[in-house]
Amino acid sequence: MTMDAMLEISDCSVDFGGLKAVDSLDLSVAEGEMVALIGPNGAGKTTVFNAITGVYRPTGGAIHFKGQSLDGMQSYRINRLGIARTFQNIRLFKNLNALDNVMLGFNSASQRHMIGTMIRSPESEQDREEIVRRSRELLDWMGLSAASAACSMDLPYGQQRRLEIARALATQPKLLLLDEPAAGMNTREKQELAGLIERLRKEFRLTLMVIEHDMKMVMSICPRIIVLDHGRKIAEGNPSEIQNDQTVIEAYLGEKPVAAA
Amino acid sequence: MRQDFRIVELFLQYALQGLKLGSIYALIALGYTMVYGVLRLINFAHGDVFMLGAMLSIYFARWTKLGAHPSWISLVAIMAMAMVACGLIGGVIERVAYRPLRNAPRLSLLITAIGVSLFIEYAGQLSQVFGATPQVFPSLVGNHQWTIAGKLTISTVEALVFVVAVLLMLVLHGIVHHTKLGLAMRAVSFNFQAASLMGVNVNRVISFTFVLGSALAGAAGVLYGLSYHSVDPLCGFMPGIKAFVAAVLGGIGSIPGALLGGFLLGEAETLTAGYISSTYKDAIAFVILIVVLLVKPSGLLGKRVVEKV
Repeated sequence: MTMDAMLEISDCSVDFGGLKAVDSLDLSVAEGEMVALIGPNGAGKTTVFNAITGVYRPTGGAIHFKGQSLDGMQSYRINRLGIARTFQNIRLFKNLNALDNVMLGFNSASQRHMIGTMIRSPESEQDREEIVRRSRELLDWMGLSAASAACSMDLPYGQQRRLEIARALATQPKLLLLDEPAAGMNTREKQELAGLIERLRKEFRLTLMVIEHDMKMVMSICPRIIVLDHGRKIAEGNPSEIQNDQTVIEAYLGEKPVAAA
Repeated sequence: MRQDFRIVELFLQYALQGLKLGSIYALIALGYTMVYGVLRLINFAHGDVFMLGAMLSIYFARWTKLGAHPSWISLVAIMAMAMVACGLIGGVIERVAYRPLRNAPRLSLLITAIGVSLFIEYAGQLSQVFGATPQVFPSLVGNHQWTIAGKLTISTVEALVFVVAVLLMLVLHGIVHHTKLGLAMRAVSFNFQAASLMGVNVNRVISFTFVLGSALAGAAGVLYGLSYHSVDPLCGFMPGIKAFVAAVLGGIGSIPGALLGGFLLGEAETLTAGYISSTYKDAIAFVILIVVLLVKPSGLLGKRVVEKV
């Protein structure tokens, strides 16, 4: 294992019955890096995120975060170690308002005093006020201050996506996994998002992994790109290397026809 | 004119009775609905936890000799003991019977719940435990008859049942809406996977939900004992099923729904007994259940859930 790798995935496989969604994947992400995970539909990108965050248990191989094995660890523990994520299909708590969604993220970090919160001891009250303050700050930061009391279900799509990022940030991650953050956005929104991600990275000193289909965006913000196809890593490199990689082009466009059909 | 007054009076008298019964149903229904909220499980053992609350209180009153000295302090002490005991029992049931089945099909969980229910009912009837014969519930508090608004009578116990139920519901509301754990409960009930990924210890939230719901059932058990004086190991069955109906009527998963359903069912039952015949008072609950399932399966305050595919 390399010393400076924050996330180290080695020989990792995830099988569903006969299907190898992820097949002997090796991947490492260094602290402070911003890595894109791309590939055609069904390549296993989200499965990689699910394996990292404990939603699926890898059927083979190992995943280490800061030197610690995540094997068999429950999702909430992995989150508390410092890995947070967003979802391809937004999974906000739609029964809660925007502020509560973010507060939940902060809460989990300090859920020790269960009795204290129930009898509402002065410390827990202070704690609560602090969490409210920081949650509002975070909403501000994400340009959502006006939406804080709104039920998250009623927010426009773009704001829901940003709220999901805010909620993930509230858990105070070191590594943030963004699953198609720009899906469904128009060009202008995508540009804004790219700027926001860059600012987040600096402000919160994040290491980022991004799954994204929009190549223009990926190429512009991620210095390193990993390409998956059928659960295997088929290429890895900087944007220009990836653009000119023959295997990648084939994976996306199909092989060159041998003879005209 | 006099006749009209008599009619109104009688109705109000029945309604008061219904409020008492409804309070008990509502307290039990809260446990059903909360557990359903976080686990999508109808915890059929919940009525038996309620029974344990009543049954154990008899023993607590005997051991502490508080049963012999009716006073408000005795009442509060016994109720606190019953709530703590039932809370613990509920937590243990979840840990031992339901948690190992977290990833099992939901049907296994339901069948296990029925198993736990039968276990408590029949183990309770063993002579080494409670025995099968009904036992007299001590009157923990002096019972006066009050006359209000002319000819309506209300007893201390009736008023007490209602007041305690309302107080506990307010406490529950506070916990669910103004504490971190309540927030976690609401998040878990919406999507427990996403909650877990946001650092919520889902198992702990589920345990807590069981403890909370069971403590309320324990309190309901004490109120039931005070109202009906006689309890036995099977006395949780009918109220348990009725409270389940109440939860479905209000919209299972909805806390305000459980309250509304509980009170409506209590009223329906008392009014049926009063105006038609007490023979039909049990039947009315199931008629309501069938009608709700046919007409509005999501209940009065429940939201229609679109199954995710």
